[in-house]
Amino acid sequence: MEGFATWLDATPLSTALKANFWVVPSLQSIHILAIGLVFTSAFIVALRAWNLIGADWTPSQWARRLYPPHWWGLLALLVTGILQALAEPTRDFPNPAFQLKMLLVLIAVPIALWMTRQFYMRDPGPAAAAGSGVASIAPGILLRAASVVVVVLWIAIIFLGRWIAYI
Amino acid sequence: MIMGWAERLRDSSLALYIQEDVTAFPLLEALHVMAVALVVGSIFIVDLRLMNLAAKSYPVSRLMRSVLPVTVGAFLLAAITGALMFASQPTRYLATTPFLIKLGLLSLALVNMGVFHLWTHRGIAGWDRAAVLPIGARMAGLISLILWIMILIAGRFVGFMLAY
Repeated sequence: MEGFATWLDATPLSTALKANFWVVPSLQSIHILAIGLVFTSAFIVALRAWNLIGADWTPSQWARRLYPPHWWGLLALLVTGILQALAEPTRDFPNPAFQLKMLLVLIAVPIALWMTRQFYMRDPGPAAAAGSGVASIAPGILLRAASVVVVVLWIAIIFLGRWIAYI
Repeated sequence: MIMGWAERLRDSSLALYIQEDVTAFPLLEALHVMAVALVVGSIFIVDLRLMNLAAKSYPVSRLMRSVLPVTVGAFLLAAITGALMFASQPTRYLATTPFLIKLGLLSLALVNMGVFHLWTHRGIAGWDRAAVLPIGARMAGLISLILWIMILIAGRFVGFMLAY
């Protein structure tokens, strides 16, 4: 892993990313903004799934509002994450916090995908559901549990992300 | 005078604890990032609604009533963790330009919020039925959106450019 990281460190792309001092903090800033989109979406979807806020909309309507920014945010996290890792490969790849973070991401994303499908399937969409008397299926226990699990995973991922700098 | 107070704070036992305990500061940072993510994300939901760009079928007053408690709770966590981090090295932060900029931007954001809640907001009864909100509400949303993005970026550069 160290060898791979050292090799990456010497590539032209990595060198270009390191060339200006503002590149990495700018990537990190976009990364944190995207965390805002993803974590808030997951958090509010969970709050709604447990019927704690936002009762004017069904959980599925909230999902339709929040999952697009959630998935665009994840794409931004992936791109800025890859670029950060390319800029500082010896800091990231051999780092156990980074490795565990990636593992948790690989667990969280499929769960979020499953949740997106579940919510989208559960009602015909905002135009049909609003005031039309069409009832949407309330989230079952599995979906509600998953909503909490992803939030906990994202929190752990945020913490691990910060800890990369300290290990 | 501020520097004198900052130096006393820096030498306090709380500040020394945060400086010396290996996990205290990273923990505060991680909680701060998590809180900031929720503040910015939840404010976006409200701001985009005020600008009539998203969630158009959701009555404005009710959206705010649902989402803003999340914003307030997250902001409190961000403020407490921020204050504790500041307390650990107050003289350095006060000498760090991005930090001062961030404080200035935060003040502007709070003023924007104050103007909105105390003045613009008084017409909110009619908003839930309106297709487009009054210009004051839309401006508050746009200003809030821009300010919070700038606050987030300034915050990232604080750690990066912390003064010696």
